[in-house]
Amino acid sequence: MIYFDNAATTFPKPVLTREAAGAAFTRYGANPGRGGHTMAIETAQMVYRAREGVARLLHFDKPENVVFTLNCTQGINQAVKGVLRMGDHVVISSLEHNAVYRPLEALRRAGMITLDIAPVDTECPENTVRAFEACMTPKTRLVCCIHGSNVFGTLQPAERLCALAHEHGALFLLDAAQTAGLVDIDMSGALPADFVCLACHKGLYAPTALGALVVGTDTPICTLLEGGSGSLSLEAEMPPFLPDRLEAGTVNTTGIAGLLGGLQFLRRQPRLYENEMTLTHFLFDRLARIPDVILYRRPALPVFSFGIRDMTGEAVADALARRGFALRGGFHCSPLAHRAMGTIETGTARVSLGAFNTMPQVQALLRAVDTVRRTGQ
Amino acid sequence: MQPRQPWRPDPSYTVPLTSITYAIMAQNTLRAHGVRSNIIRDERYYTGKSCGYALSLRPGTNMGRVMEILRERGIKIAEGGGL
Repeated sequence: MIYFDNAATTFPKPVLTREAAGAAFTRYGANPGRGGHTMAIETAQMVYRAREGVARLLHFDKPENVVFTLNCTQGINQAVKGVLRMGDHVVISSLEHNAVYRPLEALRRAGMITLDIAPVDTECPENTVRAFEACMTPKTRLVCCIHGSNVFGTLQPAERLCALAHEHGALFLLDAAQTAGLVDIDMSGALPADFVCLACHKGLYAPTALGALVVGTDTPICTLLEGGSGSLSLEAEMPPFLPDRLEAGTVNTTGIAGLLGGLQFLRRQPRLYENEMTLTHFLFDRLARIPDVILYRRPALPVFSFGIRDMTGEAVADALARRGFALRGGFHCSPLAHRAMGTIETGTARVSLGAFNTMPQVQALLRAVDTVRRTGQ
Repeated sequence: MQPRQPWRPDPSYTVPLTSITYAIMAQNTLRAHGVRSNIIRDERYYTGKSCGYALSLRPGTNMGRVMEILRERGIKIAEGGGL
């Protein structure tokens, strides 16, 4: 099997990740922040090093504000439901993943908030910023934007949207599920987002079931989950300070240990983005030469969608799976993006590259796509 | 028979923290300033305002300087400590 589904989760994980995660079963097997014995302290120190690693990646000087979550979706839910109040207004982009869209739509349907969807112009960032600006109202409390589209691989003008939100007194949430680890995110400089949500198991090459919510604001945040934190144990309420406030229960030490390995892997791959984009653009440009192949946008990330005339995206992915290629077909949890790009009827096949994809693999995929479009299966 | 009393560090050279994260931050911050410490868990600080985690420093350490360093880094010291 040749894996081209790295936007869902990166595979394979680096040896560094596997070895580091393994240490959770030997050296770091205790529950961090719950005991005073040596292994509990050393496990807590390991977790703290991972917080520091994530903070460093985002040029952020508060590792204590790195909150580990189950996944990016949980981080987004915690952020939006933690700060929104009755009557607030929220603006999101037309390319949002369901991780952003569904929690906000649930709040809208419950009558708590109003929600506007700003159309992204994938060809002109200026128009995207103008569209967001047109949606802003005095009640706008939060602006959310997917940094990189998980369907089309386009990058949104996050820095300018963050500045726009702050100019209007609103908070800014960046869904960096597809960009963290590949694209520079500078929370201390150009992109001082109030919330950055990460899927550590994607571009940070950690095991699955690990996300992070990085909090850049001092705004009080209501908790989504309550429980043990190992701190202020005699109090009935969750502690007011991070990360404890938003980390109820035991954290995923195996995943966090693996994240340390993933971050180490990234530091050894300074040209990862350039290398992945070379392959991605080669694939995109060669697909463009195959008759009946439908392409949408030339991507800025190593993920993009394509189709074959008279086939649904799911059918294309199925046919390629039978030939040994792992791609994702369908709607990629992003109905907004498919409506915006006109692919809501057919869905798309999505190809997404990672650190371990090679040119021979890309060439093999090109041959397989050509066969599928000729045979229809 | 009386239960044996656990070993306890000198409270004059102990800094209670609000959480394990702040204890590690405090230890790392002090280490960067050349001050060595150990993270301990001490029931004296296991109050409603603390997690029980504390930093134990060598007797004779300049505690005024220690507190200044931690304050500058924004590290929260738990209430009810020995300082």
